[in-house]
Amino acid sequence: MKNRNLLYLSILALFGVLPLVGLSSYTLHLLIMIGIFLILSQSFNLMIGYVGLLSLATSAFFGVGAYISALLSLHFNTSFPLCFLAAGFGSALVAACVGIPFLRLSKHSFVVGTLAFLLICDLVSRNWTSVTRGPMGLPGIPSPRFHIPGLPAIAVTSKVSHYYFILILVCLVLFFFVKLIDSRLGRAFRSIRDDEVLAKSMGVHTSKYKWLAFTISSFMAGIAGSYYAHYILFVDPLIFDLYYLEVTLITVIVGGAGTIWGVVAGAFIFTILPEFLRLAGGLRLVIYGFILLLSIHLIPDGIGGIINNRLKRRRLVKA
Amino acid sequence: MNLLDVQGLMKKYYGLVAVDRVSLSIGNGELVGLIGPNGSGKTTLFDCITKLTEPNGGRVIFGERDITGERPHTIALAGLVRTFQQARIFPRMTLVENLLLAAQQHQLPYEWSNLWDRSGVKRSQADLLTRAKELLEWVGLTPLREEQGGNLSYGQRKLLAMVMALMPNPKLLLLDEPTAAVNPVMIEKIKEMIRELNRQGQTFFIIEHNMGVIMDLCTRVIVLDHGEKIAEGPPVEIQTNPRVIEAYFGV
Repeated sequence: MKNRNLLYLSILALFGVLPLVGLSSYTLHLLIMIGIFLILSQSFNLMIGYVGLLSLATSAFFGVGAYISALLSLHFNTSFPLCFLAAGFGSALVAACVGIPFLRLSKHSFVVGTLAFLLICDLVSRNWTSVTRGPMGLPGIPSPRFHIPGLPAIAVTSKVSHYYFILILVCLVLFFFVKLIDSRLGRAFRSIRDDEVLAKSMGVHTSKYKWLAFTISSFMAGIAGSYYAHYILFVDPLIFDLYYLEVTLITVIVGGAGTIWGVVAGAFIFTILPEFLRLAGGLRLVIYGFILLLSIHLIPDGIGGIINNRLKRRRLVKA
Repeated sequence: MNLLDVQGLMKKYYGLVAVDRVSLSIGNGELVGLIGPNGSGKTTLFDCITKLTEPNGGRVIFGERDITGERPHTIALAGLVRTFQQARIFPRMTLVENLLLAAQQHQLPYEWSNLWDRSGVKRSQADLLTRAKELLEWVGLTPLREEQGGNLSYGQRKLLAMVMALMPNPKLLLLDEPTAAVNPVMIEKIKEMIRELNRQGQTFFIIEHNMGVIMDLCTRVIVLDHGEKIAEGPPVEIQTNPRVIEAYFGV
């Protein structure tokens, strides 16, 4: 246990000093995007990997969070911390409402229902022009600023400051996630994934816990979306594009649904890989599909599954 | 005072009547067996009592509470816990986690104050952990406690499923074929466990095909055939009951 904490701390320290070696702003941008996708992927992972429900609405809540945050800061001059929280709680609230009918659906219809929700969000953002300005999008979103009374305001504008901001955010999310999965609540989630009927007969109110997981997962997607909006400084309906869904799907499936660190590895791979695949142009999604199929065939438990098996084998050899 | 009262419980699948107006009662501390040929509705009866299937008629009273209209988890929380014929466990959780989950919902309910005051949660978690370890020790699964449930053999799963059902100290335990597809040595072990628990006051209602087990353990046996209760009484009487013999052998 002590060894593991040391490992985490040294990894954190490594990422902490990384910008000091003089990374290009392009590399920093990639690392920031990894952070954003990491949070989004963990939100997706919570549903597919720990509750066992394929929710395609995760990327919709990413967009909902981005829009809430953008609209609040543009129209009401709301400060960033408030926007950020409002985006999280707003997405969670929307999820709490739509989750009630969705979770009454069977497992397969739930997938279709959540996909429909994503498509509806896309339509709303395109056509509710008086609020979202439609396809023209919302430009001019301010960068994150923090006002702490008595201290000079901290503006997160440079790439390096964005990098540190997302690093802290990712650490918080991962810490929360690890704690959540290991708690009573997380155990109840996993029991639903493993055997819903048995979970019920062990006293787990399965529909309540599924709803709770859906809401928590949407909160995470919402804050990722909010930060994304304040980083890119622009939101348009393309945020509801299936592209984000595909990236999170492939990150979690190849990374290993139901493993935390596998998905972290997945987020690195599938944010960096597309940069190398730029040359492939239109073939990019075809290559994605190919990788997905290949990995389902060869490593059904994902990267995280392989790592877990290795660790276990080592433990058994030692014992 | 009866612990469980089933009154005219009925389950129909279109034309087929799987459970036909079955009435029975189980008193505190009893060890009652439920037998019947394959397809006679034993498991369906269990499913109707625990509400995993919706019965079409009849009432189930548990203690003083009418649980006919309740949902599976509230029935479990009331103290009526069951196991499954297929020895269901949570395959991707460790043995300890399986046991903790089995009892955690019975512990103190979620309250907002738990978010800042962790002392209550910690204490109850520690209690559960102690009990989980005791039970694992009792069935001899301690060396495997950090193993995933899915890696267990069938017999080990049966044992785990049974101690999972015991974890929350249920008032009544419904066991669905605890010795099916288990080797003779393990059968003796399970029998001994059930007897020991019953001595301590645990009430059981057991579906079983193994007549040896039924005859050895039960004080009273209920026989189902085509969903209907055809006999009830001490094991020795049941053995010679002509209707039971007819149901089993068709003579």
